[in-house]
Amino acid sequence: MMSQKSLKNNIKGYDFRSSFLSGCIYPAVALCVLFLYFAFPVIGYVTEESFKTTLVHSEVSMFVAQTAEYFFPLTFIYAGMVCCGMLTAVHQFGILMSKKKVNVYLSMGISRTRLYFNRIAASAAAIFIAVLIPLGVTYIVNIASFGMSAHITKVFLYAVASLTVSGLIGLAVGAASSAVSGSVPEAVVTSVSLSFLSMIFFNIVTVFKTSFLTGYSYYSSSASFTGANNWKAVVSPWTFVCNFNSEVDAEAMDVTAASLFRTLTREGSAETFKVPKELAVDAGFVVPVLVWFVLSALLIAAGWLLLKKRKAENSNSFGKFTVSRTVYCLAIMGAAVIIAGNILSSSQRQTAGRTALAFVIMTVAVLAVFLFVQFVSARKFKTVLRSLPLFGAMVLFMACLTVFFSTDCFGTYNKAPDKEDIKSVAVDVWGHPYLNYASGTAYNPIMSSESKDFDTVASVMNILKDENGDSDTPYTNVNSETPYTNVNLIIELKDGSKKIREYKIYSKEVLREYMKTVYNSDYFDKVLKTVLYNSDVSSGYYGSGIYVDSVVSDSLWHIVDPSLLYAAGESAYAFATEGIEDSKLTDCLYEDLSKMTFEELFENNSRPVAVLSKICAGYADAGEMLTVTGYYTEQPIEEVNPTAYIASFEIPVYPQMKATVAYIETAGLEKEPSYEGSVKEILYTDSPLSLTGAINAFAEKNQDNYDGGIDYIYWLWSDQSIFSASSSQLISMDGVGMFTGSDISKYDMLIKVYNEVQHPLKKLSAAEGKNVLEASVPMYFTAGDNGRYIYVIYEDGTMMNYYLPEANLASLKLS
Amino acid sequence: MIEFKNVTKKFGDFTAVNNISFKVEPSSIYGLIGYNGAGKTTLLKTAAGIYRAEEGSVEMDGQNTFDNPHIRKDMFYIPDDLYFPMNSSIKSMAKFYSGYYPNFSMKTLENLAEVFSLDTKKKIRGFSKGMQRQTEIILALASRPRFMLLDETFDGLDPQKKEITKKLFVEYVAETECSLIISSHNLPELSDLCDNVGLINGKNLTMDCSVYDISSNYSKVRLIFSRDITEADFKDISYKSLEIDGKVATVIFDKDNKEEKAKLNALLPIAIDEYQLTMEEVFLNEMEDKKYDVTKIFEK
Repeated sequence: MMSQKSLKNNIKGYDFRSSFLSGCIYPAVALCVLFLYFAFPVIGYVTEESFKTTLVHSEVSMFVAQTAEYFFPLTFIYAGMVCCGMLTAVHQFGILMSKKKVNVYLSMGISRTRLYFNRIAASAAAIFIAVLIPLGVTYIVNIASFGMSAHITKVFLYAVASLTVSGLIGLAVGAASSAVSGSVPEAVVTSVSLSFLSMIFFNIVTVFKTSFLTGYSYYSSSASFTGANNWKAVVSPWTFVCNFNSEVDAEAMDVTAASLFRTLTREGSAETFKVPKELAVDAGFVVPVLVWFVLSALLIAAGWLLLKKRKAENSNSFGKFTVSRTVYCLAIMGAAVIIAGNILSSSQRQTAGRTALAFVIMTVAVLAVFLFVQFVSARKFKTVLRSLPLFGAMVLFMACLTVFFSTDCFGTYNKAPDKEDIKSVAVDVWGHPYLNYASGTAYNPIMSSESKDFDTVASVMNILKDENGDSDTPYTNVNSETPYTNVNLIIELKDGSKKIREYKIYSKEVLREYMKTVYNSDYFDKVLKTVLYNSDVSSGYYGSGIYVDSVVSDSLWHIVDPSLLYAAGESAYAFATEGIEDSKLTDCLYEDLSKMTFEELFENNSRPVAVLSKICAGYADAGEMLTVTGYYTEQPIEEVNPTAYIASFEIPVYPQMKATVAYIETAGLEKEPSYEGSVKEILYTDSPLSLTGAINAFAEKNQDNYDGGIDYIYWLWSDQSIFSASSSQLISMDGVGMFTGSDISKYDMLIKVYNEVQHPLKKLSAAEGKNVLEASVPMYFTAGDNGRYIYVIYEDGTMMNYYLPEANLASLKLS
Repeated sequence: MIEFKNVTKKFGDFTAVNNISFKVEPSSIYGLIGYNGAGKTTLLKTAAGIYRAEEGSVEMDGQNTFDNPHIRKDMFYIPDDLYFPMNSSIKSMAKFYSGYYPNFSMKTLENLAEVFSLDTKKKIRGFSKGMQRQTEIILALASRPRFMLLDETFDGLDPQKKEITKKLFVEYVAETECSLIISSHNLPELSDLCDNVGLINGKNLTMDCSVYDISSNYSKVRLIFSRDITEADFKDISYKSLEIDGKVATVIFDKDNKEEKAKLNALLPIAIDEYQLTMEEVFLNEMEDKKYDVTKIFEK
């Protein structure tokens, strides 16, 4: 007769065996997939005829052929293992969800604990075998074909561990969910919700923390954690498995887990594999695996506790378990919050008012989802009524948040962090004629850790905050097509996080206020010095810069060289640079520029006495800025010599730039002869409309006639002048049926475009326009200025444009 | 011995069974009677350890049955709603149960399969409802439990199989000292099987006595009159129930209510007969069912 103990063991053993057999469907599928993915390509490779006949193989070790990864990313394999684990758990614990099965299993001589852990153990074993067999075959084939390798062994162990843990995560999530689900569909919904819940939670926390609570950024360029990637992997099973194909921050090594499985190359004729350092399996890889092993164990334990408390009468139901209902309600509501938040944050302007609106909408969305889920899952209005106190609490909570965020008092969007928390800052500096090669703080910011610059950031944020889009501003009609200017601020905090605050400025007045504040600050001086003196300028992205959206760009700067040289047949740029000390010129420029006010720099309505420019050859490389200097001519839009000399960077030298003027006069720079063509006529219009603006307006008007859309609008983005309009752009205008590249001159085009938009150009003779020409300037910050664009037509066909500032409009009347 | 100690089971706000206590001795069969939805199945599932009682407990040999594998390996529960896995046969189910019931006897199973003329290799899902019921019965008996809980087990069995099953249960209980509880709302099939019966009515156990005692608890008197009579004629008599049909009246009294019975003679019936109640009559009487006038339901 069997003893009591052996009887007990017999039951345990039988239950384990039957669980293993009944639950091995999904692991069996996983085994086949893993075999095809890992083992099959390797076996295929070593059994090729060419492999057998080649004595020296360049590729001596392949854990997985890259072709497999190419067709089916490794991430999918890991994600598939998570799904396999989940499905296995739901299948195994189906015994809890059917009343018929519950009658059998919960009345037999086996405890709930034993039933649970037998199924967990059986499933884990099945998953482990499903991983071990294909990877083991791969490992053996590798060793048999290429010889022993410590690296291969490590990768094999890592692959087995990580894939098994991926399956274990799914199993744990599925088991915990099944313990509190009344039916298989509910278990699936709960499992999926649970697997995403932490991700949703972290997402919401991040958005709230960065966008609302901390009040200074809705976008963070990096996570705030040390070793961020590893921790991100812990957030949810899906971030864990996706991390295998992303960079792993392990001892500052950039390496993807997927690369571990790729082909290794034999170095020379050495018999041993030389494993690149970056492919070493170290803690960077192992930590997430270990963490998820522990988390899986905790989830399994939670599932066990829940199973012990499970009410068997709730089987064959949906929504009767409070825990599962809470999980998927939270997941759905969280997803609703994120979706609503994303939709709202993608609106053009984020202000306190909009934030409040966002919360109102999110509240409605969340509560609608809450009610819906409650009603669908409970299916009894009485049950829904019972949850009304919770409903009321949520409404109250959301209402409090709405009030909280709409007051502007607490951590709102525009609030700067405490100075004590700031490590360094950077502000966009753009629009300056000397620095306009910069492209934005986001790319290559000049960070300042000085306290007064922190104040500048706070002032700037205050200015931008005031541009709040209230209904009484002229910007009520802001929509997705309204032009704006992006401004970036970077705030690096002492805790290591870096926040990028991106504003969209719609108001020219606010833009001017912003620029004025920045250029009058010490921060500008810092940027100016860095840009002028730092030779380590690369890719044209040094310093800060405001990126000006194409559509409004024409309203910012209008640049024409007043001392234009006619360069036909001449080497206008070939002035000698010998004898010029760049550093000295830089010193002079710095001395002058740092003293000049915003108005002197941007709204100087006097004509420059000279222009310093880099020759065309350096156009593509801003790094050579100011290494070759001299007087320069900008290319006119001219029909006689359209190709000669293109320059892009120029520094107008105004009379008050005394040090620079003195240097130019004494440094042996020879002033190139100015263009001395005879003016034939001067054209202007009765509005501050630029040519680009006119073309845009024209294209807008005619877009319905153009089947292919209005792409050409965006081709005409250059803010400089009509001179930038290339032939291709002109041809593109054919689309609207007005112009052709060959049958219309640029002069005619100019006239026609302005006519089309009901702002016909008026003509002045050379004599009539003399005053106008003298009062026109090559550069001016036209934002908010009510001046005129002036087009000068020379007798030889050359055309140039200038800007007549509002302050100089009297010259038109004189004419 | 199976002992129900003040068992109360609730489903949310709904109380399914309330404060029920009774005992089932070894070597005895206990019939649990009640109308549909009275709580018989709930009580059996609580006894089987599937449901946890909100209050009280069910003990077998002094041990609480909820989540108690030690006692449950000696207990077999046949639910009303049977479960057989896909493609299973009696043989495979026998293998399954033998894994969980240490006393499972293959020989008994084979003997029983022969008695019921069941093919042990055929797929159970292909069996009729009655055959599936027989399969579960033979699996239960082959598991040789000391406690058996049977929920509406005779449902779907033909009269011959019913008789065989009854004999098997009686034989098994006598042989193994098993305590067996069987629930049903079909009283005749329990009357010749059970030693004791319990009646669940309105969530409570309203009767718990031996089958031999049950009928003697009541007496039924039929009276025939020479005139039409009404309920008013019986106003001075205390009775359990009264049914009048023209000149015939049927009165049910509680046991030993001789004084009230004597008052009947004062009504001057032309004939008076006393009967023993059948179990079904006792059941209906205890249920105190509403008397519906069904004659008007289909009136146009």
